[in-house]
Amino acid sequence: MSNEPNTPAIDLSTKTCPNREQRANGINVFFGQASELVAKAREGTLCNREREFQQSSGCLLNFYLTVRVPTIRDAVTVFHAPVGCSSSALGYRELYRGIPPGLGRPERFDLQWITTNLNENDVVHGAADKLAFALREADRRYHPKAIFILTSCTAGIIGEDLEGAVAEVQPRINATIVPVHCEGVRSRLVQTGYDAFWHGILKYLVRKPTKKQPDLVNVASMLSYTWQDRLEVKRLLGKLGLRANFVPEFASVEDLEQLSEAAVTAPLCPTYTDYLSRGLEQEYGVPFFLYPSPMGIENTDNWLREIAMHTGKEKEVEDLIREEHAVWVPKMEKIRAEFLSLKGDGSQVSVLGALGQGRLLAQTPYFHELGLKPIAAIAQDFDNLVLAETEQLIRERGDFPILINTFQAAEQAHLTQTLDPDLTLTCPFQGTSYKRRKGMTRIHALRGDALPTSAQSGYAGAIACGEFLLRSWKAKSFQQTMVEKTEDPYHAWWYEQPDPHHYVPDQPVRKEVGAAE
Amino acid sequence: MSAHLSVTEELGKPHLDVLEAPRWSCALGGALTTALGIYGVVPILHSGAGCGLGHQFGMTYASGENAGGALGGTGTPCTCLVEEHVVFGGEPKLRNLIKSTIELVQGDLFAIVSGCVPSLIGDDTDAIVREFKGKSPLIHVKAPGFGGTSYQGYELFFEALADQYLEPQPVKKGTINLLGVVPFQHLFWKGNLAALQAAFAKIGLDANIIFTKFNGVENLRRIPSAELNVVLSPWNGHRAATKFEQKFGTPWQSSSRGPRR
Repeated sequence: MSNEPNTPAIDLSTKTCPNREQRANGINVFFGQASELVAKAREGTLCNREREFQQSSGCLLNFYLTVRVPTIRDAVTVFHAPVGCSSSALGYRELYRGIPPGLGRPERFDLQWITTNLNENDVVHGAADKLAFALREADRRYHPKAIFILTSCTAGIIGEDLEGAVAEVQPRINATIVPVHCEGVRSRLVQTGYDAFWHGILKYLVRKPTKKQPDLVNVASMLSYTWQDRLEVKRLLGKLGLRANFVPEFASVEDLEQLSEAAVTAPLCPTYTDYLSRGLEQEYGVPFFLYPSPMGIENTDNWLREIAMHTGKEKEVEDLIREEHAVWVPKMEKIRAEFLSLKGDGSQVSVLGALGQGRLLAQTPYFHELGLKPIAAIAQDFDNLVLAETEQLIRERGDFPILINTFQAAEQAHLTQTLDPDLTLTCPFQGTSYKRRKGMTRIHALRGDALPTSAQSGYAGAIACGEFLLRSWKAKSFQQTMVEKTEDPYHAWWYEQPDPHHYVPDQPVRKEVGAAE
Repeated sequence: MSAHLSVTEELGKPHLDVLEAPRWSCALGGALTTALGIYGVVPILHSGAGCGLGHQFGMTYASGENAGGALGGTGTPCTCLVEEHVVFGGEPKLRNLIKSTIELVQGDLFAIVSGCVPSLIGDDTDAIVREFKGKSPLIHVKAPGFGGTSYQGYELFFEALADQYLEPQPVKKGTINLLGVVPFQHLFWKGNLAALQAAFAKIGLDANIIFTKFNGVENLRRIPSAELNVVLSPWNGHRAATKFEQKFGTPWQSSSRGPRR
């Protein structure tokens, strides 16, 4: 692996992580063949470009952190921000309510969070004393074990001294304060937010292992993996006599502290888990692997084998895989046969899927298992962390067109319309590509969806998702209604020209344009 | 150690505006969701990249799992400002975004909503918006998040509308505007508006509910022709109604509660 791009060591003496742009040459603007993408990444000529038309895609704070960190039990989140930056946490409570407590959701799940509610006066005079007050009030009101501080664009631009406030307050309270530098303006890549969060966890919360727990497996996962996925992972690991340490959602502070004592860190989403995995190995010798994710039968087999290797369960895992295959493989064969016969002319159902770079890698082999033909890919971002694996994917499955963008609905609508796949899969937020008559559905549900039919991980998930995709082929009344009743938000010319990156000028640094004519 | 901060021994100087889980958002959130509530209005955010998506969770989902439509959530055009713009200014990016949005996105009115970042870095957003005046229908709602709540964002939207878009018109008898219902701030806002419109129709009044209808911008345009503005809240919509009174002479009245049996 000597010719691999260098992934710098994690430096916990710094306030925060480097941006993904710096750490792994991350980008979120590209359209072309995957082979061209990886070649450019190898050469070091891959660069980000400025969009002239761009859509709100989430920031470091408000893509992921606001809706996840406040779920941590026995902790409080303090937003050092204007009042709007924390509003996402309101919706999250609604999303989670659908999970029955019987399935393991805490009965009382009110989120504990406070905002410093920065106002005009604060942006002029600074708000360090307000933050200090909020931290002490959080401690007084909830007696938490940890207090997370999440920062905002405003706090960053006015130059708030986060570490100063922490140094002042920490000696006076019992809770451990964890400052997370997630100013939205910090990076173009929302994935920097994951790293910033894990940096805080590694630096302030994870303890020096007092004892190793050889049956503990760290599993960190994105919001896009449902509650049923958690249960499936728990079930499979349970059969091997292992315990899953799920972080960070609904985890306790203890769960986060004991990350260093686990036998292995296993990924559901590699790009998400990367920084944590590397940090735990570097600081505490916890081994990790990043591929594969447990999506599809073969990927799940290999995911379990990787875990077994680190936990001394090599023999048991083969028994488990045999046992599970007897149950699930026949079902998978049935789904595959149905997909292969759907078109009636012997051709395969073509599919276009969109999501993070981790899903890109795991999902493509899974589509092949299902008998679907992926014709292109859309990924949120691309960086050197997945370079070797993407090259391997191209070697194994052939070249494919790839569009890299973070939630750019117009670009996605364009590619969907141009390629016109039989089935298009889109993120639940992504909007506009729903307006088509052919097959479409979501690429994933959200964690709050507790229906067994929404699962995607492990063996049960592979079957549930396959059946879900089959059903989307059969039930098309929703998209027909959408086509008939609502207008497309974009003018027709958009679909008549060939380039989804029509509004991305070629130069890496955007050239200033003159005043409108 | 900053001793001057600790007025009281236990907690330091109390800051009563530090809030626990407030059930509202910021001025930008209010202006954005007001725009999203009116079909045909295209919001354009001049802000950080999370200000649109954040309100998908915080305002629309939180309001009974509503969705913001094709131009809400991740669909909202946004300058997605980052460090480079903080240092060098976000004006060129905004100019490009307005130009491309007008070309690309179908809509009858473009509402530029500017947030914290341009206000802090001193972007002259008004000047950029002025470049497009007279060519396309557009307004600028200056709504930095640190400037107020989502309820105030609603007022800011209508004040900008009155100042920059609406024209005085002859009064049309028997028509009223319903103000004070802030979109996505109440679980039943859509149903309430529909029920109120139907109730007013029974007494022969044409109530303009502005939101939720396919002819949203047409409804906006006829706001000045109303005989009366009825404000359905003891505090929301008062600034908007006052503005309409000043600009168009429309009288207004507020009821502190809805109809009762």
